[in-house]
Amino acid sequence: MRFLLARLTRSVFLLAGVSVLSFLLMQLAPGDFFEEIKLNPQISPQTIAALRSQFGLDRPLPVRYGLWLQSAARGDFGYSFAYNSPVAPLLKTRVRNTAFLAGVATAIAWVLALGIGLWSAVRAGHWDDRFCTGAMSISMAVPDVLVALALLLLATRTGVFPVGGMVSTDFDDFTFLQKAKDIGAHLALPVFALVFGLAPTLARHVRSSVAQALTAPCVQAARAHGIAPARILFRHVLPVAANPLISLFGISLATLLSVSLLIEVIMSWPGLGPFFLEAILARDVYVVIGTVLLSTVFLVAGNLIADGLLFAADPRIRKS
Amino acid sequence: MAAFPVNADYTESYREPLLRVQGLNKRYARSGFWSKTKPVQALSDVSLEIQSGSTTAIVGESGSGKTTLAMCMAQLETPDSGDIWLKSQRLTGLAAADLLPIRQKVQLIFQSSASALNPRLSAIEIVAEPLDILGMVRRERRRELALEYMQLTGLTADLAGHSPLTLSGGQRQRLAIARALTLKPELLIFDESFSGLDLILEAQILELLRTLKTSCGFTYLVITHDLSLVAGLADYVAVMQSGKIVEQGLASRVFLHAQHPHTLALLAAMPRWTIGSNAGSGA
Repeated sequence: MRFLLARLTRSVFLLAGVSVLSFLLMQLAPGDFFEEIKLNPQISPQTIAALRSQFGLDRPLPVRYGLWLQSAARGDFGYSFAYNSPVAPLLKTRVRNTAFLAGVATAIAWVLALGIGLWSAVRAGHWDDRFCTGAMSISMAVPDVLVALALLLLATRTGVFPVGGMVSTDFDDFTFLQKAKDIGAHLALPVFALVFGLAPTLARHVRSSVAQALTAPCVQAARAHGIAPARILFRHVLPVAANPLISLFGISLATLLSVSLLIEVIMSWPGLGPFFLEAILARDVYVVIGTVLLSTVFLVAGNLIADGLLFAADPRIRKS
Repeated sequence: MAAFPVNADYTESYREPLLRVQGLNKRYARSGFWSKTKPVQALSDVSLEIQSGSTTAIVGESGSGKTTLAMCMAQLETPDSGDIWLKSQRLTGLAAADLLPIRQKVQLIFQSSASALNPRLSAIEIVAEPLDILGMVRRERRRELALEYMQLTGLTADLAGHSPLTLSGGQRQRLAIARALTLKPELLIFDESFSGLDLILEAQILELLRTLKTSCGFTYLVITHDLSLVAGLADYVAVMQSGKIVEQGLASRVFLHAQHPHTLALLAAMPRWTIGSNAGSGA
């Protein structure tokens, strides 16, 4: 319990640090949202000055940070100039979409990686292991953007998969089954792009950890006892190989989120990615800070989950 | 008289071999994508007999092939050629499924007891695991029997719930021995199992092995680079160098009348006596 509390406290400090840093960097960047409005002759400089004053942009940086903290404490996380709305409700729907995409992709990537990695480790040195290792190396070398663009091309040429969005325009008229099918069809390409990018890396780690565990003396001892291979694999090999994989699981959650932002922009998935890009271009400061902070929350949560799993799985960590 | 305690009670009368190794070869080759590294001949035409009820020692420097030989004997490595017989049964070439029940008869105690015991299991679970999985005794009797084996190796019942991580090196090694004993093996192989222990712990474990041998009639194979360790323990000694057995025979003969330069060099490296005192002593 103390272990988890210590991790939680550290995470709170990390989030505070990230908020200060992102706030500082955004404020130091040249121009703001109202620089664009200045170009509009229909809006007078007085109105712009009044708006700047209303949003507190004319006040010193520490005061602005303090105001943002107050807003964060209320659950608003600042105010979007472009949407004329508190940031939190804007992020809510998009986070849900991004988490859905990243969650499905993470689950599929891990199932594939565990299967391929285990198979490859058990068959180390054989032709099928070499084939898997070669295929993983090639897929790791292909950039995510290229995969996403190729999939888009495929989708537009064949018309099998819908391009862009999360649901069809007539989604509300569908039955439950049709709705599920529609979301699945929209999900297929971004998920494929994400899994293609992530699964090979994970599979290589699984292969390496399992191959190492297979030669561990406690596994050799179990083999010498005459215990069946399948039982050895699940009772001895996987627990021994688990620690680096659990840590990797935490990192993969955060990595997938950052990669999914890119894929979302390319494939027009209505998640945080396109929203974040729009906010940067419009210099919608508080939306950018909110999104960065949310990404950090994902990273911290991923690592916290990994820490919790490590704590539960490994008695050495519980003892230390 | 010798200046060190050589086991001279064992005589060369014929006993039925428990395990017989004949012309064993093992080569490790590693090939990369572009090139092949030079293969290592770990075992080269190795032949050895381990007689029932005896203690055999295999000695040699690091990299001489001792562990590979032990792994082949325990069927944890597959030799490239040659034969291994356990009594009248040929082990080489047996299908994995046929090998499962035979594996229990040859047990290996590893050098690092810390990594040889699953850290996620408690001491009692480690000892009881072979009984659980192989279903050798009734479920309700397993824990009781596991405790008996722990006590047989000098571990008290209060250590049953402890993780192996909280045990000392000596306790862990005893636990590994207790785990091996549950399977009622015919041959116990100790692969450098004493090298991490201090002198007192080493003496205690050796004493335990002597007691178990007297009471249960085990056959031991001790693998070590430390000749002084096997001087008072082994009945039979085989000396290995570069994957070959360069000299083998009764311990008293090898220690007192060594012929091969490598054996002489190993004897000379022993810190407690000199070759001069050996040469001058008799059997």
